[in-house]
Amino acid sequence: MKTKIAFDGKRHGAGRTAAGFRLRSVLWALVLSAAWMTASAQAGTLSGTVKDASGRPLPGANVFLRGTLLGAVSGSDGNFTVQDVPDGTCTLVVSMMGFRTVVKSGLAVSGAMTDVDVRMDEAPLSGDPVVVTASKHAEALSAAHQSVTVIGAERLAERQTRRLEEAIGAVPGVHFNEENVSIRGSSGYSVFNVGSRVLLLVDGVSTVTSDLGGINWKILPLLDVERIEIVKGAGSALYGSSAMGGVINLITREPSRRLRVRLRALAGVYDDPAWPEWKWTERRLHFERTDMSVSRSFGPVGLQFGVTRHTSTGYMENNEADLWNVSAKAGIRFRGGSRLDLYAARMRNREGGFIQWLSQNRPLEVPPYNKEDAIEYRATDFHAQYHLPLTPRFGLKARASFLQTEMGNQLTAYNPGAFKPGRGPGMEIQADWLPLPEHHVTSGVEYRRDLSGSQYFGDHEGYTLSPYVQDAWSPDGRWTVTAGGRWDRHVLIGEASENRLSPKIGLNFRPREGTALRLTFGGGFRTATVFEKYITADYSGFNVIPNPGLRSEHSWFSDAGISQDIGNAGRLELTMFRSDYWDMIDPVINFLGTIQFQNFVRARVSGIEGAAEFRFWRRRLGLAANAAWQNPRDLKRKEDLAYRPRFNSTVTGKAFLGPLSLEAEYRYADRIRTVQLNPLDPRVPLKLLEFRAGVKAGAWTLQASVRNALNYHYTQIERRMGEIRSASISLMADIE
Amino acid sequence: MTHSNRTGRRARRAGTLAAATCLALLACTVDHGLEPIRSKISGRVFFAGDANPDITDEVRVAVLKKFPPKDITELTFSEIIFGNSDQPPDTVPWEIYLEPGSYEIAAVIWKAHNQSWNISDIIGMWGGQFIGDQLIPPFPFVPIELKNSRSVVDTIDIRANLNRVNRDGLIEGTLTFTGEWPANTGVVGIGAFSEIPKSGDVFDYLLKNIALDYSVPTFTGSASYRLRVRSTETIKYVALMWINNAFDFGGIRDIGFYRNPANPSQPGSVNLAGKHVTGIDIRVDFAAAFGGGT
Repeated sequence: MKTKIAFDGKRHGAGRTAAGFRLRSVLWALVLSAAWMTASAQAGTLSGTVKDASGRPLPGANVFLRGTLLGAVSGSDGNFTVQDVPDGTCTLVVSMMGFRTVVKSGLAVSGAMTDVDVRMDEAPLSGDPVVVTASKHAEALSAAHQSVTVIGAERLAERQTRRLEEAIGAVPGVHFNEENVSIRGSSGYSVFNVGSRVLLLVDGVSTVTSDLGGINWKILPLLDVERIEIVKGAGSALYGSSAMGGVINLITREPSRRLRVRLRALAGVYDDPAWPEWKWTERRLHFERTDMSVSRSFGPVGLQFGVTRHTSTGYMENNEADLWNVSAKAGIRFRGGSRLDLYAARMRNREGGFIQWLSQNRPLEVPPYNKEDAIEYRATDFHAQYHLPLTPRFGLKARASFLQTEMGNQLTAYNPGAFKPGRGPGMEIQADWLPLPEHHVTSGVEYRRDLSGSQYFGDHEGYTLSPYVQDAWSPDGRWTVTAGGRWDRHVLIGEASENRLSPKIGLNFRPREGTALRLTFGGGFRTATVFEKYITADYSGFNVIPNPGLRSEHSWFSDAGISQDIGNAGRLELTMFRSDYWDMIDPVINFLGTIQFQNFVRARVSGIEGAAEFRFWRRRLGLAANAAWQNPRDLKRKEDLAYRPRFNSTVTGKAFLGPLSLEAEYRYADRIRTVQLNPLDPRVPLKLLEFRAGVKAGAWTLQASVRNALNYHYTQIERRMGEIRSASISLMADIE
Repeated sequence: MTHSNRTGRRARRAGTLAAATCLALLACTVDHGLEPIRSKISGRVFFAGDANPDITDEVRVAVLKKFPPKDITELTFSEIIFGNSDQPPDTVPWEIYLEPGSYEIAAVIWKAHNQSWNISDIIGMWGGQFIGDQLIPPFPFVPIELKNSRSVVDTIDIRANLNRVNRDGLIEGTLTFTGEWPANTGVVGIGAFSEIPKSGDVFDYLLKNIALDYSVPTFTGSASYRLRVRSTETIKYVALMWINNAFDFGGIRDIGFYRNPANPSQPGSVNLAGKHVTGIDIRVDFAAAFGGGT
């Protein structure tokens, strides 16, 4: 009999295989009994059309039947069909971003087709859209037990987004240090985004890299993104390692039923620095970007292709960028309501390796020995998801994924092949079960293998096996109590193993329409990456040494928040939070400049964040403002955690005058108090002003923007100047 | 009033508002954030001695606000004034643009190939003097003052002696540790000295050493070491120095030294005539070394 490698990394023979067979048998028995318990004998079909107040069909509306797993999304003609609806009466809930949620109770279904017409009124703000990340199943945003922010594709387009970080960084409580994302002070800065404490998902599937434990914001074409869900606070109870600060889920667009082509062409130029002596070249520095997406369905098969090409001279010396993205998505709908979604994306990015400036008086130039440095990065992301609704109240989802990332020549053009591809194949089975209409039990098992290798940290192989379960109990329409947890067993084969339990409990109370209160308490953790454990390198004069004894870091978090609609014109949100971290992994620098990652920090981050959004003058004017204050303390060193601002805020004013839209946005973050490498370097607060304008004519939109309009010079990490003033113009088309 | 008139009036109001906003913005003083530093310290470095290009990576001037530094990040470095070419020119200009303030030390620091910066590899100090190849620091320090954002102090000439780091010899041996390592151990260094430094005197440790290497493994029972030294030096003392994990220089202390085989209570000197000496072993008893606590 063939020998298998079992979950503990040791080799086992027939006995373990028999045990595996028994395990599978028990799982299938559970599945079938659950299906039998919740099956209904008679079923009908519910169909209808979703339209706006003026009678125009609304594509993309979420339709679901309360107390079941049944649902659909309206097509480009606004039509929807929900099959296998149990006979009797049901409650239909229809929601969509930008529209008021519609609830139709007492709909009778008795075998035959039932037609329902749904009219949706425009909401003053974003409405109450369906979100899927906080609980790993669909729920209304207002019913989520954790703090969730949603950014839709429309908003990404309005912002003239070039990088996802630009849009996500404007969310309260979220801060970027270059490409390092920090939610509520969870993260500072690490080179190459190593050991991210925020988990990046694409369609619910992790894209954290196997070697560096980092995330790559360029992993998919921008036009693929339908919406971004940002869950603040630890998500380890459902998502495990890396989610200790929060979870960001990029949800890709569904293929269109009819041929749909989206195009965007953008070109821009960088201004000179504000100080003439900093000008380092006579060339006009510029950037260009082209995005295209084509989508169409053929019967039950929907197809979508995307491509992005971005080039830039950069605004600094040795700062050129050349990015390619391609992607393909296929959605296949089967009889009986099951669905298979396949998504694949490939990216290649090559950019100059600007590590640090030559000097503060020549901040846009690199030292002579860094002029040839380059960073090449390639990534392939593939995932397949199969949704199998077995009964109206029981369904399975199976996910298979594969992520390959490859660092090219890391900062040394003289050392090719230093990195091997990091590979992360994974699979997950998730069951959603409504044993009673007021309970939604989500459970599953996730398995991921990580293979990585580099001359800097050696070859390593590991895996994580993680069962999880969560019950969301809604005794009436106003209360939802969510409780659950996940157990993670992480094994670095032949080296170390760790077990972690991450529990969570949450409460959501909606005393009346437009008001929601939330309370959450839970645990989070992050496994040390092989990079942090085994790295041996000389980085910019600093000698990095390994620490094989590095353990995972863990945290407890709590938050309490309220969301309140202000009539038809506004919404307020306020959240208080606190996170305690133990064994936090941090690079510790000794007086010789030797760096070692250690479980050194005991930290506490507490704070408050608020957001307000208003529309007035018949929705022609809008004002959105948010602010977050936090106290990110390193309790051992008795100083602020490095690279965390205490206060940041974004204020956006908007005007919509017919086809013309105007926006001004101001971002502020106070001066970072603690940095790690060059504490004596001058630092300033972040002050960025941006203007945007757009004019729409049919399917075409012409946009222009000025970023960093004050030409404000700042550093987020030492000795790397932030982006200087630029102006761009773009043309977009959305043709169906 | 017709709809078009109302629309026109609103458009004019919006235009006026936009123009007024633009004028107000233009009238403001614009904050551009970081700006060039115009105050600086500069001078020349006068080299003496012979460089060893086989082991030399680079040489820079570094300035420091307050001695001793908490760690290497408190030093501000100049550009490279000498790389790993065969020999430096007799004199090289240097400059560092710095924020206004008081700077206690300006020193020339040498960096070895494939090694981190080692602040004990000081080969020259402003105001310091050499007796032979030994550097005698100025005492007390005379701070360099940059009084305002336009201050320029351009008279900081430094003599640097490359002989201090022209290490063509090698000593090696084993280190044996008995007892419990203190939990607050930061780093342990091994040093070869021309004279026995005064315990706890950072200057003595930094300037009387012939070579000092802080990469001794910690929390281990034994280790071997190799220390590059200048073969023409007379080594009177080879010792292990311990620093706590707060990297507090004031807490530096000897925890063991190479003993005279003929008289084990006294330090042993090392004869480098053969350039390569083995068997310079050191035993550390933590109970004895930290009898009074850490």
